[in-house]
Amino acid sequence: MSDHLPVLLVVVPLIAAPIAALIRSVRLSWLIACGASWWALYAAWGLLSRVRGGEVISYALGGWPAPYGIEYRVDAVNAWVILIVAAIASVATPYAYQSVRREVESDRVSLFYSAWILCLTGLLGISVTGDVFNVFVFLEISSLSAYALISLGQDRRALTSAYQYLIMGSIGATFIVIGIGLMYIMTGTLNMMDLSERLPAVMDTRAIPVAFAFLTVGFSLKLALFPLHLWLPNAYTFAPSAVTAFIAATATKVAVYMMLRFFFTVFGAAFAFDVMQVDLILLPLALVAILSTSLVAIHQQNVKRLLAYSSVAQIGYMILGVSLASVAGLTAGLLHLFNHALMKGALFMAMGCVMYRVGSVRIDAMAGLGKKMPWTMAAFVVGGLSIIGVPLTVGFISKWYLVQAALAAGLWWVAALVMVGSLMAVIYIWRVVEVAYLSPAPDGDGVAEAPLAMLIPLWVLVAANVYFGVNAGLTTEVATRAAEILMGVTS
Amino acid sequence: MSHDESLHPDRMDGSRPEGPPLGPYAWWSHPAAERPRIWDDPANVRKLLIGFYIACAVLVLLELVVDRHEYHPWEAIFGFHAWYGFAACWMLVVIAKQMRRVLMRSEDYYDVD
Amino acid sequence: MWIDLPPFILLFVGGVLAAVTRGTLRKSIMLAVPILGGLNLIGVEHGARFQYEVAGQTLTLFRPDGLSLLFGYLFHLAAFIGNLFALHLTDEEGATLQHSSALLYAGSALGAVFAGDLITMFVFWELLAFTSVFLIWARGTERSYRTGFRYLVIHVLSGVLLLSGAIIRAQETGSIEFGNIGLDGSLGAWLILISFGIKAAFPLAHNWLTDSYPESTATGAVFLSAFTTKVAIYGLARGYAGTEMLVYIGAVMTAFPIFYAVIENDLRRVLGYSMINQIGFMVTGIGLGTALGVNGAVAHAFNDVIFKGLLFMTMGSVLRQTGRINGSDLGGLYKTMPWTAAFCIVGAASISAFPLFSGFASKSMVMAAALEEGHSIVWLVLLFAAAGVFHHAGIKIPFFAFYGHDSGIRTTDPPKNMLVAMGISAVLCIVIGTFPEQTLYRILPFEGGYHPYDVTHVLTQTQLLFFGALAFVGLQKFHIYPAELRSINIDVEWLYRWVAPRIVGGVGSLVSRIDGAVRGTAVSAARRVIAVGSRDHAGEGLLARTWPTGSMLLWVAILLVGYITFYLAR
Repeated sequence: MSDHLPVLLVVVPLIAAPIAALIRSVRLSWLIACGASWWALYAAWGLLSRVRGGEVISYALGGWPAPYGIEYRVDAVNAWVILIVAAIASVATPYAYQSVRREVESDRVSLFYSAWILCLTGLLGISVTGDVFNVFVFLEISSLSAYALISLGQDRRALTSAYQYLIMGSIGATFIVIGIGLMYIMTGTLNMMDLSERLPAVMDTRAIPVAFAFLTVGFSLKLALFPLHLWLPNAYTFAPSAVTAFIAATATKVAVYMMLRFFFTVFGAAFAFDVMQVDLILLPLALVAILSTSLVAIHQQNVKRLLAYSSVAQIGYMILGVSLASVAGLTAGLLHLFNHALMKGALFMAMGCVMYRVGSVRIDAMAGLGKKMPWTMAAFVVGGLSIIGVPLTVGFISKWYLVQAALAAGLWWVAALVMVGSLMAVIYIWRVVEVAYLSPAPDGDGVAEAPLAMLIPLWVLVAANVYFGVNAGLTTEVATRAAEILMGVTS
Repeated sequence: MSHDESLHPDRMDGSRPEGPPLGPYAWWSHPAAERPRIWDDPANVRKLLIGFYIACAVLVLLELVVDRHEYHPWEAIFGFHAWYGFAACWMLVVIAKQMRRVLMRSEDYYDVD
Repeated sequence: MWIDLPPFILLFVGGVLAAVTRGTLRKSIMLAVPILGGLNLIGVEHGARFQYEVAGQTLTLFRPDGLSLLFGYLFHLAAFIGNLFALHLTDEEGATLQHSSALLYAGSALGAVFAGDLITMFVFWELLAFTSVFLIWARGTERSYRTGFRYLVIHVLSGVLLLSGAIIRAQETGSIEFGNIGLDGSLGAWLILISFGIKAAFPLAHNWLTDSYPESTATGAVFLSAFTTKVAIYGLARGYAGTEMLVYIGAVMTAFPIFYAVIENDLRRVLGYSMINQIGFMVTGIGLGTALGVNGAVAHAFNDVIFKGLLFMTMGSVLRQTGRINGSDLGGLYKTMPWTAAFCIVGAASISAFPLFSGFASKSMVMAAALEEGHSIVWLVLLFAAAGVFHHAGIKIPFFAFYGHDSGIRTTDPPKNMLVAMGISAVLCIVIGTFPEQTLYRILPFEGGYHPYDVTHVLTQTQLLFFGALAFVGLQKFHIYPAELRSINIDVEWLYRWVAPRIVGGVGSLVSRIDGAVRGTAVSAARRVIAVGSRDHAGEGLLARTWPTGSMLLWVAILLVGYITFYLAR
């Protein structure tokens, strides 16, 4: 079976999704979702342990060899991303049970889990495939299901947010498919490895830079790079809490992966960075993202929205690492990919717990929660420390490598701006902590600690924040390996 | 020292601290309160000060007797540490008092916007 | 030594236990933890241990050697005395919070001085701030709340600088080990020095100290005065001994605060200024870098913790018993607080470096070291400061609180535990001052004998002090001495407490107005260009509002055109 792991990774959830929709039982469809995500985690671990050493798995779908058939191709880079997606899904799905019962109408819950599994399928598919058109297909699967998931939020603004996300997401996907189409016209192939071999011959044509431009904008939209992030805050704010936790920790990460794969593997680092000089655009945008959206986050009154803006800033850190176009920079970016999934997952889950008990995630609703929901708020504090980048948390590991990479590139002012970003994170995290711990609680609203079924997944992520903050051996090893593969450096 | 008016420019009117009038045996009923204390008597303060002046004089005159080691050429000046300490403190207070003109603000200076 | 363990662990465990226990049990813990921890340090083996590999760097949690051990003993002693002094606290006074954070704070200080690398040091550096701020906030006033925030911001900034410096050093030298750094012109060394400087209250960065300590609780100030600045002194002694610039920085630190101290009304703030003055002596000694200079600096740090702690304890007692601490409100307390008054005089004599009191045994080392190195001007400044400190801390504090004009306040001496704590400190001041060679000098980190008690030293120092006192008497007689006035004096903090808010407010409103105008125009232009789709969305906020889908599309279009132009122009 292990030979078929790449395809089983996607096929099992793909089959699970309609089953979950057909079974109209809340508990059963949830169990199926859990099963699908745990399977994905098992398969992801299997894949990663096989490619950790630098091996590449190539799997021909239906026995049709590439470039004629669709090839699934796994190396350390996407095995890493698959693991992130699967790991977050395996924690977020158990968490979702209570949260979704409270926030989604009961007759829609089984459809919710169906969309949830589909979204997971799409994200895994994007990551595992080695075929650019297949990327687009899975992108549509994950995006469409994500729109549906977001629109299920309690607030009626969820619908308009999902609609807005739909429009922007579709435009992004369209741009990507236009880029893919242009490449296909010029080379006659859709297989990534094939493309990378044939593209150099047609690099001088106008079509390829235009394709590159469409792809850049498409990816920027999908991964919410400033200033194309505007769809993100509302989508994250009004989506059901569990959805926010899941999507915030995975969807943009996969979009970053897509960008990396196209830039480094399909086009090649030399074309993207030396000829197109995309770093000249990415670096300033990343820095503006870090500073501007952190500033916006400071002024937010709704904590989910605050965290959403913080996410845009954090994406800035990842893109900053990518734009350094060095092994060190990519390592930092890929580390942050993983680490940010852990911290934002934990923070949004904590907010889900607050939503569950208090019914609001506005800052003033946090008053006194430090006493009433000690475990939830303690988790928030640890997640917040991680966002800030305090030592012993994963956030510190990310920042450490990012600053090191910036200094190694001679960009000390970039390193300084990263520090400034951290300071701004102190402010927006502190605003929440201050109200939760120092403001007196309103009397007699009967708010109690969140149910254990939500707290346990939350604390699993919190523990991971600390564990990988102390023992960063595995994460740095894999991230470094992935960065070397992307840069085409063999060690 | 508390009633030695010469030491307290802000109590020049000779006012007594507020409180009920105290009878001659108040020290018994208010043992910790208004029993006459050592520095309430200006004579004691005076004695203390006189003793202090003598001590100062003796300290300087001791230099004539004691073989003082000099670590720094300026220490050779007679009574260097004595006049330096006196001048330093006098200057310190005079300058600090002038600094008040620039630095002093009301107590709620930072509290009002 | 019974158990080989980094000392901070015991204190942290104690801090947690103090939070969950009550009554006699907690009191026993508060006293037992520093005693056991201190005894456990006796005879400890030197050398780095408890090392962990993280991200390719070695973290060292426990590195006892001559220098760190001296501070290790000192901090245990200070924690014991402080805990004893605070033992009576009731729940209304926030006993749990104060006890717990005091032990955690002491533990952080121990963690910092025994840290063998800059990253571990950084962690404890920040913990120092986060644990101690509760001793300020526990006062429970609006003012202490805001002061605590300023304190926290400045110390977190100091930590960020330390971390930045550590990263740059790791980049340059490949190691994060904390040894002698010195100013070699590299940015990392400068950042770390500035970070230490902020915590050590260097001039212009000193104001957090005089801002926050007077706003802390009556007992909290005792802890605050013991740990934070001394950890910084340890850091400077370890990393920057012999950096000449420190000689002059130290000299400035000894001199300028005493002017402020003379005209300051809040007696605990007077102590804050005199604390900067004392740290100045230590910084100078470290800057001199000779065995005598550094020994003098750390010895003075040791003594300062005890006598400054004693003075803060006496003023804390006054604050607790009378509810007042301004010189203008106090006076004549010797009648009803005789023990406190006596202890205050011992503390005052020690800080003024009277022979037979502890300050004398250490301050004279720094002065002698300055002379040995030929720093005449610096020596004169130190001499001036030595006379000045007697003037404001030695005379002003006891005089205006306990003597001077009778304020009419009638109270009593504080509870027994506070008296005993002060008594222990007072005895230590006298014992160390009288027998320095049998006590303090034995644990100094560097070799080199020093004999404070020769005729010259005793005579000149006594002359200096007596004539300083004579000046005080004269100034009072001639009514030149400035009266204590209900007022405050502006200091560097004026820049960030008065000027900055006004500039920020002004610039902020200007920026938001310009920003509003620019964005308003741009958005309305965008509306007109893409009228469809944005018609239903009314404009609300500015930066963070929900953008109309049309505006988003405009961005997409702009970027696409931009990218294509950029790429085709290649």
